[in-house]
Formats: sequence, structure tokens, C-alpha cells
Amino acid sequence: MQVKEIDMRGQICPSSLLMALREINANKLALRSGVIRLSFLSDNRDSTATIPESAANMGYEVSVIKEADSYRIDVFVKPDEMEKRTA
Amino acid sequence: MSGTGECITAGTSLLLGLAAGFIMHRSDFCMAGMLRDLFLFRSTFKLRILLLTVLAIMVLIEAARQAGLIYLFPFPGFGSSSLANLVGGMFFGVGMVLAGGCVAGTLYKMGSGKIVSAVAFAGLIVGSTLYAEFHSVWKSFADTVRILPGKVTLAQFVGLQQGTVISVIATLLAIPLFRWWRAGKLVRSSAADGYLQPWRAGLMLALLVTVSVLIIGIPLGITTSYAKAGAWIVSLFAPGHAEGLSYFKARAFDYPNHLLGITYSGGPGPACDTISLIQFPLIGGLIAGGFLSVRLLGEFKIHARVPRSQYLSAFIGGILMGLASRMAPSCNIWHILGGLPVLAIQSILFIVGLMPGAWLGGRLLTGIVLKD
Amino acid sequence: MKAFINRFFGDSEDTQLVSENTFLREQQFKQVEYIRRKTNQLLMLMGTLPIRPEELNDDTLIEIDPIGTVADAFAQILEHEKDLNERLRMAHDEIQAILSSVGVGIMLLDSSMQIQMYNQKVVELFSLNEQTLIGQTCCQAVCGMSTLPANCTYARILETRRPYHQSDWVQAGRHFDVSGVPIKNRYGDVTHVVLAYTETTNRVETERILREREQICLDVFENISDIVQCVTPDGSFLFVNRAWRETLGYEPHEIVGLKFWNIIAPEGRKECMEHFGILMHGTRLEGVRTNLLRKDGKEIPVEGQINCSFSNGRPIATFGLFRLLEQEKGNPLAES
Repeated sequence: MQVKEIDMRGQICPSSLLMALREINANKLALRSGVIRLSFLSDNRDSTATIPESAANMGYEVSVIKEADSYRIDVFVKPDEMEKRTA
Repeated sequence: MSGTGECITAGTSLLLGLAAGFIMHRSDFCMAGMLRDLFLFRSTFKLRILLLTVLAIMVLIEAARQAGLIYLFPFPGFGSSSLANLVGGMFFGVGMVLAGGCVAGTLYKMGSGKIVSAVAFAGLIVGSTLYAEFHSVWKSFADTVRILPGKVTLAQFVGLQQGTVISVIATLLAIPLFRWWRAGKLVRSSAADGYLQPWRAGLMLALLVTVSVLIIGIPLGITTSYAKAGAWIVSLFAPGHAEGLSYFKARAFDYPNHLLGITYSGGPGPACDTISLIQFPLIGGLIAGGFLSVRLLGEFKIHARVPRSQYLSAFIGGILMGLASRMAPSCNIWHILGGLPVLAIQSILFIVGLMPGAWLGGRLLTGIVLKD
Repeated sequence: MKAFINRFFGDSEDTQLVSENTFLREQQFKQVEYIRRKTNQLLMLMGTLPIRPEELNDDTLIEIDPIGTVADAFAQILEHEKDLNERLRMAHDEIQAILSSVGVGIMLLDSSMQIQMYNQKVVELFSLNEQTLIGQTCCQAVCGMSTLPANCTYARILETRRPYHQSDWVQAGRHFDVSGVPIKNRYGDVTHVVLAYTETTNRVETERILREREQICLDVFENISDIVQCVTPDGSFLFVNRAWRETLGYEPHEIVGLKFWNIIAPEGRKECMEHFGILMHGTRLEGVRTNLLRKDGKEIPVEGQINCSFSNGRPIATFGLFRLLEQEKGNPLAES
């Protein structure tokens, strides 16, 4: 699975949530088919709540990992979820 | 000043401030945000948490009072109410939203590296000091519009026992809180490192306020020290002028602490007194608590990249908060976490003024500050 | 004069331009505020936090198209919901198929005892009217009562909040085994109860008949004069009749712990053990003669037949029927 990294560290405007939603929308097909995994880097604590909440509501899996002084928020589709969708 | 009582006072205040700053940072517990979210976004989550905190303090303090652990009640610093409380609350609300943080929020955010909060902090000192220039005028006004003289608490006003009134109000508050808890509306998901659920933070803060009342005799309060700091600065550069201001000679507190065997006495003047012992360590603790929290998370950074208009807004908001904290008198922490749980009429009026003030602040924020 | 005219018209024009400019800026601000407000409204509808004012300024507002972005996100949410609904429907069909295939009647009741789900078996068992079943209470549909019956399994589960099994629940003369399991929410409150009914009427009737016949057999054995005994493979007495007890002189409580070789005269024990071994192989023994030992030590000569019953190839017990030889010698009918 290819990983597309989006670095939003140090950014206040536009909000990291909107940036993340834009990327998820733009890569919808590749995400749903499991070709890519989006990886957002953010130093905004709020984004560890807002991005996962939104992505989960859209049907994606999310993982949040602390890396040094920022967070890596990964949005992807699980392999067995892909099978269920294609079935 | 030296002695065990003084050391315990300063040490307790420092620890309370440290704990409060840490807790508030970890759960993003800022009352300015609570009201701003309500008016800007119609979001009531943080207000529900505030209600829980108030209820917890209400129950704890009443239990302590019933157990005979509180020597002076109503707390020193709470007096007869006046419409000045309401007007002060309104100005405070405007200032709070423009500054982007309440009095405590400004401090812990400053500790976490936010430069805009430091600017608001500077504004607080300026505003508190400016008040001294028209203190006599305001005092006359406040005395003129005094209402319910001799009645400090709602219980005194309605002529019932404090315990009875608290029981009724606490029960009424507990009902919606229980429903919200069952519906999961007091919990917020967050994957942020070290995130403290706001409901837990609220309960911990309730405990801290109670400890302050039990040991020091009063709830948490810090804004007299801003005037003190301003007075000291004025006395450095214009000692004659400082000397001439009657406000700097006023006494904010004068009460005995039976537990520690000392008397707290002092005011907003530049002299180092027992008010300094209570409030400066608390302020330092709040800043240090915010710093400690962000440092332990490894997320400390100097945040300066904010639009210029927001720096101006923070400074003006800080000035307004500083002014209002002298006019009301005192701040949101004192009234919402100290006076409201014991149903002090001053605090109720302050909050009644705070709401439209925060609304107005929100309008000003979007209408002027964010406008190109 | 000219200067006056210029100033008059010039100032007017400037003033007009300024006021138009201000008006247009106000309009733009209102539009931008509208976009910002609606974006936050949509974000909160999505179940997340709104954007703070400093996180979206006017410069980037149009460029980033926040409403479009949130709308596209909503489209994905709707797709996901649709997908979830489809999976739920499939899961519901699978559960329904499982319920239909099992041989027990199953009902799902909510906390007000109303039927939410059932399988065909329960309809057959209780001759229920499917048209009005969903939403009807279980006591109305099954028991035909408006209030809870005394031994209601559902009521018991609701009270104890634990699974419960009731064997031999009788309804309209028919027997059932009823098992129930509570389904609880995260607070431990029972939200639903699953009840499973298995009809046991035939089994109960069969057991009753078997018990009756067993009693008849026992009565017969108790009343005959021959000695009857059943012995297990380890030598313990499974059954002895009245004639055995009276002949050998043992009280019923004294037979517990007694082994069959205890009642065989010493000289006959070896042969007896050999007979026992033969019996264990399934051979029936006729005309077996031995001396039984009374409790008081007196020897009683007997003759009889013994066989062994088996289950799944394993010996269960030997069945022995003996006549007193001394009695026979003295019986004129027996000699003829």
C-alpha cells in the first residue's frame, strides 16, 4: 500500500481538518480500493480528535501515533473491509 | 513576613496553581472557549462540563461546611451585591472572548508557549492598573447601585438554610447531568497524547478549589495581583502618581486563617503582603503547570504565527478583562468556581453579565478582528 | 466659483466611491461570514468540532472551498451509511435464516416484553397470528394473558438480569423447556431478552408411561415368591425384591454397600465368580444352583437363571431369578 504524506505542521490557516477532508475527498477512489494510505502530520492537538472523527464517519480506519512533538494521523481502509465492499 | 503559616500558604497556592495549570492544559479547559463555542458554534459540550464542575464544587464545599471545616462563611471577599457586578461581568465577557482565554486560560496557555496569551497577560496588567485611575468614580457608582444590602448568598436572600437551598439546586443540576452522562454527552474522543477527559478535569478542579477553601479559606482567585503588579510598575516610574491613587491603598482581604494561625491582609497596592503570598504563587503555578504539561508531552513550541489582528485583539481583550476584574470585582475563576457554587449573589450577577458580554465579544471577534 | 464647483462635485464623487466601497466590503463580509457559519454548521453535523476563526481567514476561504469540501465529505459519509445499512440488512437476513433453521422456537423481546423478532417454529408451536405478532407482548401472544403469569421466564430474567432456564413449563396442557438470555446495554440495563422454546410434551408423556410400567414391574417383583436380584458389574445390588430381603434376612438399608459374593456361601463363591464372568460375555445361564448365605449365616440352597443386560456393548447389570430348593422339595406340585 502506497503512503501519501501530507505535512500540516505549523499550519494554522486553513485548518488542518479542512486540509485533511480535501485530501480524503481528492483521493477517495484510491483510498477505497486500498491503493493508498493517507498520512497527515500535524502539531495541532485538536486535529487528533477532529480528523479521526470525520474520517471514521466516512467509513475509514484511522490510527493516531505520537511522533516526537507532532502526531501522525493515518487514514486508510482495512483489507477485509475492502473485500466486504467488493463482495 | 516569615513563618510556617506563610510558607504553607505560598506552597499550597503554588501546588494548586501547578495542578490546575496542568489539568487545564491537558483537557483544554478554558472558560472563554466554553462561552465562545456556545455563541459562535452553538456547541454546548464545554458548558456541560462546566456545570458538572460547579455541581461538584457545590457538593464538596457544602459537605465541608456541614462538617464544620470551613471557618468563615460566606467566604471573605464576597460582599453585598451591586449592579456593578453585572456590568463588570459584561465587560469581562467581552474581554475574555477577544483575548482568546479567561484569566486562568491565559496563564496556562502562556506557559504552553502561546505568545498571543502573553500579550493578553500584558493587557490584563495594564487594564488592572488603569482601573486605579477611575476607581473612586466606579466605587461611587457601585455603591449607588447596591442591591440587597447585607445579603451575600441566595439562601440569605430567600431566608432559608444554606444547606437546604444547595440541596435543591444540586438536585436540579444533577438531573440533566445524569442524563447527559448516560447519553455519553460528557465524553469527547481524542487521541491526543495525555488527553484528560474534560469531565475528569472538572472534578479534579473541583477538588483543588475545595482544598483552597479548606486550607487558605477562600476559593481560587488571582486578579488582585495583576493590579498589584501594575501598581509596582507605576510606583517604579511614577511613584508620586502611584502614591496619589486611592485604589492602591485599598484592602481587598482582611481575614484570619484559623487553620494556619495567620491573618491575611492586603490589597492591590504595590507592597508585598499576604495577598502576594496567595496569588503570585498561584499565578506562577498556573503558568508552570501549563509549561510542565506541554513539556512532558514533548510538544513545547513557541506559537507566534497568528494574524496581527489577533495580537491586537488579545491585548485589548486583556485590558478589558483587567479593568472588568477590578470593576466586577474579581474574575471568572473566583465567581464561577468560587461564588456560584455557594450561590453568592455577586457571582450570579457577574455570570448574568458575562453571557451577553461573551456574545458581544464573539460578534466583535468575527465582525472586527477577523474582518479584513 | 470653479473651485467651489469642483470641490462640490469632487467631494461628492469621492464620498460616493467611499460609501460604495464600504457597502461592498460589508456585503462581502456578510457573505464570507455566511460561508464560515455554514461550514461550521456542516462540520458539527458531521460530528466533529467547528473551525476556529483564526483557522480560516478570508484570503483562503474561497480558494479552499470549505462548503464544497464538507459537502464531498458528507457524500462519503452517506455512501458509508448506505454500505453499513446494506451490511446490516444482510446480517439481519442471515440471523433470520439461522433462526428459521433451528428446531426451537425463538423470540426476541424488548424491555416492555414486546415481540421484536421471532422464527417460524415459535409460530407453529403456539399457533400465533403473524399479522399482529410484532409489537404484541409475549404474555398476550403466547400465554393469552394481559398480565405476567406467575412462573414467567421473561420476568425472572428482567429481575435477575441473568440467563434463566425453566424445565417443564406447562402451557395449555403442553410441556416446554424455556431458556432465556438477557441482552444488556453498556450500563447493565436489560434492553432485550431472547427466549428459546423446545416442546417436550412427547418426551414427558413417554417418561410418564415408562415410569408407570416400571412401577408395574416393580409391583410384580415385589409380590412373587421367587428371589429376584439385579447386580451391577462391580457386584453391588441394584435391586432386590421383598422375597430376597425376607429370605436372606436383610433390611433395605443393610443392602447398601453389600456385594453379591457376601450372600454366596463360601464353597460356592469360586463357581459364582466363573458364572459372573460368563454372564459378562452375554451368555444366559439356566439351572444355576448355589447356596445363598443368610444374614445369620444359614445357607439357603437355590436354583435359577441369570442373564446380563447390555447398553452400547457394555454390561449394565445381571438379572437373577431364583427358587428355593428346599421349598421345592417340600412342594407336592413341584414334584409332579
